[in-house]
Amino acid sequence: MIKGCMREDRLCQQEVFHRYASKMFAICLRYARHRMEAEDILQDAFIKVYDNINQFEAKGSFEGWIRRIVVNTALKNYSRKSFASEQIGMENLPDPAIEPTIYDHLNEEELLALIASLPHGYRVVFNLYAIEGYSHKEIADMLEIQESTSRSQLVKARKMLQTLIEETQKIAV
Amino acid sequence: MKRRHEVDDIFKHKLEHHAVPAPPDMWDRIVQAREKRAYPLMLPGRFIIAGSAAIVVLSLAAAWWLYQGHASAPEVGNFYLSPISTEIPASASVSADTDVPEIAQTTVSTVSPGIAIVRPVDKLETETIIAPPSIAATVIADPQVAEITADNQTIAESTDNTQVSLARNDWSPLSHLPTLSLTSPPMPLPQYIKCARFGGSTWRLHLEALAAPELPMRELRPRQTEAQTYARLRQQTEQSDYALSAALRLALVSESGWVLKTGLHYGQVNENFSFFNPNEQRIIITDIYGSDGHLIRTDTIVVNGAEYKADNRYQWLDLPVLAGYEMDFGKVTFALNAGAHINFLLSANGQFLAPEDLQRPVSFDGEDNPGNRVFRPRIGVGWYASMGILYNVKPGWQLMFEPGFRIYPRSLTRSHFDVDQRYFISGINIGVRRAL
Repeated sequence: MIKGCMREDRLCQQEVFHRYASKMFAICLRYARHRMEAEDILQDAFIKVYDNINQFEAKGSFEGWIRRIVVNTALKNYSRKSFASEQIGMENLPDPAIEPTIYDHLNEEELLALIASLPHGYRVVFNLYAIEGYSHKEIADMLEIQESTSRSQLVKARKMLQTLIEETQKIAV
Repeated sequence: MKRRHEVDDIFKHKLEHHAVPAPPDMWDRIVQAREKRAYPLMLPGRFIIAGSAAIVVLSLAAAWWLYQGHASAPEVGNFYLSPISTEIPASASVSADTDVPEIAQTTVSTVSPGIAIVRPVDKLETETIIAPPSIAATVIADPQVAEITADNQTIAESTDNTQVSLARNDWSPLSHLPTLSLTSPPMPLPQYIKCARFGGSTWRLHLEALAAPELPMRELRPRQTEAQTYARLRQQTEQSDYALSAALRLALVSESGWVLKTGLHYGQVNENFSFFNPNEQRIIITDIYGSDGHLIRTDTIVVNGAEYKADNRYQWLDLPVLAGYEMDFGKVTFALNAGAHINFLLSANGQFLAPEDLQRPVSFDGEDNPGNRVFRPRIGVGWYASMGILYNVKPGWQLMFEPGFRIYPRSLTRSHFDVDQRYFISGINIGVRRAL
């Protein structure tokens, strides 16, 4: 399939798309401000995949390679201004009291909605650190920000998510 | 070992391998985007290409028409055809009344056979007519000498002012030629025959006033990949409303049909901006007071979503510099024009989505903050081409009908802005022309 893509075989390209598009679209939705932007990210990312597939080395997983392209494409839509708008003092707030079982009741769509409600900078750092598994140093390099900025954004993102979950919990009660 | 946060874990666990079906048309979009990039000539610059091609085609058509006209017809004027009556024998002498109207001279040229009869006409000055190559004919209606060239031979004869002498060499088509009747009065023009005219160096000045409903085609092209979403949202939130233009032009028309035009051209494109933001929430708090002035209650209305509308307007002021050619067919004249529209003033007013936000409309006229101006104050040279029909309504006045198009290759937006914005505008100019 990968070799077919290298030969610009349309059927192989389509097979790659159908195999990975759904997972990659979920990633795009986590980073994008809205669905339309997510669609554009997905489109650009797959174009890059086909354009650069000759550079893929079969050392790692193909899905991981596509995933990195999708994430990098998503990050291009962010400017450094996104990390300037911080909510000062938020990291000093105490952790909201959340029942551990509440997490189990949250489905994927609700979690996506919670992430979407985060400010841009928070959302990116939280996605990269918590879900993709990048370190703060890697995030700092990728986003051209300070490591400390990445750390503080992550803390604030968590606090905000917890607050939002707590509010959800109250409404449910 | 680094301890993971509870929130991180729950999100990672549920979202790391989460899948959401991609839009059904996504594969087609990817294929189209790649194909489009593979053929850059088909990219949005198609308007420029189409415009240039149209100008070339028009120019070639004009050149071809000119070549045809000049190559096939020497200097030919308007003349009257005599009605056919009887045969004239070769070398016949025809007597004519002495009251033949005065003419100056008539010349017969060696061209194709067919028409060889010329009759004198009042106030006719010099005419060239067509005669068979082997005919040596002299048509004299004046006591002066006429010179006729036929078969590379010049014959000069002197006759009475009432005599017409016809002669032939080897071949005579006169047996089937109409009788020359010089005694009959000039006939009304049965057919206005028009051919190319040479030698006219006189230029006449005309004033043209035109107005046109127009159809604008807008091109929004992202300058970077990241601006694709913005460009697409702009396309979705801004719709063309109507466009119009008006022009006042001076036209310098030569006897041979060449035209130079310049003047002032105003163009206007109107668009509607409409955007609904479902995420915006407005809270309207209304205090309700009783008749005694005391507060009874407070109504709080939460409105989800906000709709924004605006009328956007783009205005051009151009200096057209056009060249053209006109073919006069008597009552009707056909015209071809092409040239530059030098834009020296551009104005843009209205709203669009903020490029950095995409959820908030902003004004782009820059009145509040000149530093945020998005559009250039002028966009330089545009190109124009048209084909026109002019109809003589009365001496010196013509009605004009001129469909045409113009294109502005340069983007209306400044170089720092995320998207290029260009226009291809076609329209039908209707107006009048007055000879000055």
